[in-house]
Amino acid sequence: MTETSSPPALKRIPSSNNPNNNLEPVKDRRRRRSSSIISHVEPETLEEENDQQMLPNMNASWVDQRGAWAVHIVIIMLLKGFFKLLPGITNEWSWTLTNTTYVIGSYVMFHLVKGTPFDFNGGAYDNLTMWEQINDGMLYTPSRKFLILVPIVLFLVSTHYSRYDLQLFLLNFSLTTFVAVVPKLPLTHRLRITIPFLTGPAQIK
Amino acid sequence: MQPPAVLPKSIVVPDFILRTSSYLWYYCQNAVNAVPGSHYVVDYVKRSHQHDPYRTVVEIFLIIYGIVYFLRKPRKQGFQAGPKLSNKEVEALLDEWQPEPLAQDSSKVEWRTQKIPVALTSCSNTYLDIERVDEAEAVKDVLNCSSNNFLQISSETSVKEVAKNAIHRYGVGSCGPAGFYGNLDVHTILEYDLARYFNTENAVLYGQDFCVAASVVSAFTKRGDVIVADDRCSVSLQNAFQLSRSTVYYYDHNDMDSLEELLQQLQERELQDKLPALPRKFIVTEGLFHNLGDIPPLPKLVELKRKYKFRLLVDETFSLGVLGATGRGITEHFGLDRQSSVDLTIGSLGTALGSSGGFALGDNVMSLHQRIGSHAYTFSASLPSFTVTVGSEVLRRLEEDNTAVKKLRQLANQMHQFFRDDQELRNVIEVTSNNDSSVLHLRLTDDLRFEKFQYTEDSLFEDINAMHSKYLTDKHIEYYELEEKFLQQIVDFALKEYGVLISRNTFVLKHETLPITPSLKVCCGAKMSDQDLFRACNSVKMAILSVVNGKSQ
Repeated sequence: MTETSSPPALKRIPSSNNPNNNLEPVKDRRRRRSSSIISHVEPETLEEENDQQMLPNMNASWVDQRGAWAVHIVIIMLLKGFFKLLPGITNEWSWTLTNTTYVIGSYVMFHLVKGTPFDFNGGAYDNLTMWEQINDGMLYTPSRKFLILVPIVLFLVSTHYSRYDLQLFLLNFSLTTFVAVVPKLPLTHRLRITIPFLTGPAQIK
Repeated sequence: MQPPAVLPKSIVVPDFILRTSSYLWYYCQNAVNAVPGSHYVVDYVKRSHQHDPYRTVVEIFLIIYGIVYFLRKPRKQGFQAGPKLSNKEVEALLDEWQPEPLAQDSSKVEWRTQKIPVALTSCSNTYLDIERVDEAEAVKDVLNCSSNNFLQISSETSVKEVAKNAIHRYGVGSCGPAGFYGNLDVHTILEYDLARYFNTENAVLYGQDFCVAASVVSAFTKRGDVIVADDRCSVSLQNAFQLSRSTVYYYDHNDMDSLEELLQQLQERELQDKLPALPRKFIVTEGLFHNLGDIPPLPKLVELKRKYKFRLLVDETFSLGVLGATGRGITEHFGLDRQSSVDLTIGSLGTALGSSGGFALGDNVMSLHQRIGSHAYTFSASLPSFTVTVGSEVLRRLEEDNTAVKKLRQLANQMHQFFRDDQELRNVIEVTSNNDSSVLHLRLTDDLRFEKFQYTEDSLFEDINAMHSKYLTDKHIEYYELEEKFLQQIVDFALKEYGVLISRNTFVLKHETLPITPSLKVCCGAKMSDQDLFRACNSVKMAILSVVNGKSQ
């Protein structure tokens, strides 16, 4: 973290005698892979922050719109309707499937995919998930509050309208807690967990 | 009183706990019932309770967390509020604060602006009238050895006629970006002409040549991409590297062993890293170095870029129109095919071609990408029509006959021969430029520089670096300034005594991030006669010797 606050380092004099100097870049803008299993994404340098603010981040800005909020409700209702129509599905299972689909879908969208599909910011967002890009990284904003309340309310509503046995209750509860709520907590903001042989390098390029 | 049925009988619950909790429960129920609308809540809790208090507890935790989260105020992660200051303390802090001056003191650098010659007649002619310091110094019929219009084709009357016709027909310019009504037919024609003349698939025109590198490089690279560049690149490329946000490695100037070693190490590191995606990789060099005038060993560069799977970008601002039998640049100089050997070429219409603006040559895919992804192309105004038609006309003439290029080469060779072979100058100056370069780069020998100003190129670079790491924008280095003034004396002497206009190589220390050395530039033009050139060389030699030996004050 000290590196990020230090001024851009220049390469030493080319004719200096240390042969290893050769491989020191002028300024290393790559994000190094952390060797520890749990690590935090380093805070942005001034330059990165500059690039992030340069143009509006269209990958994340739409999340603030009220229409985008309403879509969550609509999607959940459509999912419930769809699973209800499947033959041989009990009420409990259709709620469970609705909850599972929503929770896993939002996890992929908000916490798994990194970067932006647009190349406006010189790659300044490449290492951040969409959840981390929302509202320029501010916590406790209205969008975040809404997005964290949706899975909680969905779970409560589903327990209200169905009679889960213990297994289904535990399944729904742990999905909501560990896939939807915990990744959105301020505690886990910009946290990266590396599982050997399963997760790729904790950096994009 | 009996314990609730959910608890097993074996657990003995003391009687007073049951009693107090029953009372509590009773009064709680009463209190809840007193709240209007509470029966909905009670109903909800009853239905989801499902005779399982543990579930209800779990759900209550979730609800409480939701409420707590909902009530927090927005803040940034890791944000810590500063100490609360009273008004008095704020006032005191404000009083203590000493603002830096808005503009830097210019007295130390004023001499530079005063020494800038102002041309009173066309500055691409061989002879011109100039003045300096607001008409205080006016000199007539000066031999022009500081023009970058090397071929001087555009100064011919017939070419000027072409420019005039273009103005009559199109006006002076659309002032719009290329994609926003900025491009006329002549722009597209010039792009075709450039691509045909330099044998590439396509060309992209830019409004200003200094910005081409910055725009093209950053259109193709971003964070995580790799650039391997020569460590004597001009400031235009240095800006480009910074703006591209990619990781930059420098190899020793024109040293192919150093480059190969670097590429080898980078390849090994890449294999180790197992990155999720391959970065884009560029080797960047100049066709004819802006600050030194020498040329890179292109065949070896092409071999290395193929071996290590890099792309090659060459800034040919000073070599197009100068190098090669027909002025087709460094690829022709080494007998290579541009399309297959150099991936991207950056060129200028403002140097040998004698017009204005810049361009990037490359294949169709790369050109198409620039038309939507390169900032200077998409956002900057396109060139005025007359500069574009002049560019096309100059290319047409070059295609028809290459005498101007031949003449320029002959003059350049003679000029370099003169300074290289001179015995008197041997201990004083060093020629860094290539014999074919139309700009002769002279610098004091290392010994003389150390004797007079007590510094070396390395120590200057260390000092600039030290200032750079302190974020100083006002980089004033006394001994560097002294040498610049010393070189300016040579320029002044040649101008006043012999009527020959040469120039210092200009550096902006604020932007330089690579080693530099002050130097003098003597340019030749294809319209110069052999006598003119001989006079210029002799004058520069006399000026150097006079100033170095302290005759002029």
